[in-house]
Amino acid sequence: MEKKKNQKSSKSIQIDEKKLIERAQSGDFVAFNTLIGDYQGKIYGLALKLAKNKEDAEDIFQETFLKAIDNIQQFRAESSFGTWLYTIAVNIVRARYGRSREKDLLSLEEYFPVHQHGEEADSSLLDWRDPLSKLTDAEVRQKLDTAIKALPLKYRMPFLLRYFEEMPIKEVAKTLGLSEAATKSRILRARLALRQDLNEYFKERIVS
Amino acid sequence: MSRCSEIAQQLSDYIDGELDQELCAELEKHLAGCNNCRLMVDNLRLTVTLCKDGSCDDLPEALQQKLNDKLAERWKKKFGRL
Repeated sequence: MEKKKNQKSSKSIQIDEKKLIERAQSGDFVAFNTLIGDYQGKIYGLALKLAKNKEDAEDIFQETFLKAIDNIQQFRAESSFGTWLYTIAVNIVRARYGRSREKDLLSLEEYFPVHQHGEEADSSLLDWRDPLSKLTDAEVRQKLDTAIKALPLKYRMPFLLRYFEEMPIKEVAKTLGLSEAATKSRILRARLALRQDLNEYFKERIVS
Repeated sequence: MSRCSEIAQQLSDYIDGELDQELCAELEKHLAGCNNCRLMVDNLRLTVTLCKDGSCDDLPEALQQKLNDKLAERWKKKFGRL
């Protein structure tokens, strides 16, 4: 029953979105503002994490919605309106930073500490509960932000779309124009790189 | 799936609850006998939990206003009305 109700409400949201898109495409500014309302904060948050500085983030944020106006009449509802907006935002980021040379991440195997099955704890693996209980939330957050910013863009983008925007893999792949397999692999490598970075930090903090 | 390195490919799907039942049971059997892999999974799970907990960037009011003005201007230019 609950599932049926949810399906119905998701269908009615799709119909509402379709109507709003049609109205916006015929020049209704109020409809356009309603469509973008839910995404403004999200796109701003994403831009802050993808841009090199706050000024760039503000530019990326504004340019996304201005480009959406420029192209609203070409939107063909092959994806949801939200996915379309995210695609515009990541393309702006790629155009701005795409040529910057970034060091690639390690391969999957290199992130995985070599150990024998069932042996005693590997020294490179640390139980995080202890360091986490000793650090303040602000310290952890600051370290995390730095670690995320250090990820190369091609890994940072799918990671953020998946875990900050909570997009399903399929949608992340569509937004970035990648296969689902490539998307999954990049997200896993980003996750492993972040784990390694945090692990090093926690180890240092325990020692100091 | 007895070798530790073999579970690497499945980790994200497992942690995100998207691994199919059979592979999931196999992986859990491996984890039950391997402290190192279990720590790795715990750390990877916490990495995302920490990221989600820390994500909060409010849109500044002044920027919101600036955007509204620019959008209205662009809309008028495109459609000739608001």
